[in-house]
Amino acid sequence: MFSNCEALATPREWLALDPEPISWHEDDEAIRIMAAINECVAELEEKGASVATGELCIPTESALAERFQEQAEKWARETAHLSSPTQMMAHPSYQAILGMASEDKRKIIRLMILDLKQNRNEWFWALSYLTQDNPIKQSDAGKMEKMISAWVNWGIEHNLI
Amino acid sequence: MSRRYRNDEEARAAFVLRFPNLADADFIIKSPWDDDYQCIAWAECYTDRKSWPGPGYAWPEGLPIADPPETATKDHFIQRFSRLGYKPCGLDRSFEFGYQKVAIYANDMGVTHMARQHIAGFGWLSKAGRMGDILHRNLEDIEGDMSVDAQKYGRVEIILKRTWWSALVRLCLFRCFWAAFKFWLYRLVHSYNMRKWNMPVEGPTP
Repeated sequence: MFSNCEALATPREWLALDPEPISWHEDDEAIRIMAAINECVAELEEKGASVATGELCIPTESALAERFQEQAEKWARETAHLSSPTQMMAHPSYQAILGMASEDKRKIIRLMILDLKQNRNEWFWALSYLTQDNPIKQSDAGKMEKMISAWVNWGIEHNLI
Repeated sequence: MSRRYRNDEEARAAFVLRFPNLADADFIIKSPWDDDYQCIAWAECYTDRKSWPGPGYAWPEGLPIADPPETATKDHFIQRFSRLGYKPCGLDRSFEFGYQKVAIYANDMGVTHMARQHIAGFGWLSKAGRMGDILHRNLEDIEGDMSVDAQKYGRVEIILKRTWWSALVRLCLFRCFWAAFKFWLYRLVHSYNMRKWNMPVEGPTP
């Protein structure tokens, strides 16, 4: 799930267990420890971690930025010829980025504003949806330069960039 | 303003990737790639705004807005263009002396694109999203799959027309000639400056 994750350890190493003396099906202590491990893993998975190939992985902040960048580039490339906001917003990459906001909303808003500033990708609707705000004046609607400035200023005011 | 000019060969490849019908068609790239305006604004003869009947886009006051944007229908566009003197004329895409036409494309999701007929009937002018605007011979040249996931324009849904006089009194002709002159000047100055372009040619991935 996470392409660039930070491998912490296998569950055993993580709890600093000595694997040799434990008989997993007979020892009560081992059963208790396994239950504790399962509980911790479930808790971490709730926070966005995943267990893959015996290793516990947690998405780092840079991983989120990389995933955002990857999807944003794909979206920009594949919708370059489209004018309809409906078509552009229905693109799977746009939806994937909106989904990323559930992991770290503030970080995604920040990345959107930075991408808007640097690459002029149109995140206006997504930004309004995520922030429940719209800093664009009615008279500036549709004017790219002014709309970008309005969101960049909004980001500065909210200490995002 | 973000304008980038690409040499014809590379830019044509990018268009053909996205509109396969253009591979065997006659088309000319008229402008640099520009994200300041899109097809609807270009059909209105504007190059400084993005028009759509939804929040965050330029749309005349007093006309209905589609909020959320996916509720936009062709009626929104017919009403908008009636203010510019256009009237529906079915699907008659032929050139009529004394008239200018615009075509509304739609797919299963709704309106996707608009093309404006060249004033002298040389073809149709289309601004493709953030890409440049092109002059293509037929409306079919940029038609495509109707499905929502296809990222295509679908088919021509309706055609509207107005008289040349109607275009003249609204200064549309003047704005179009001015835009054409600016693009010609831009091509003259920036010809074949490929290094300014940073977006890869590749289109949608399968």
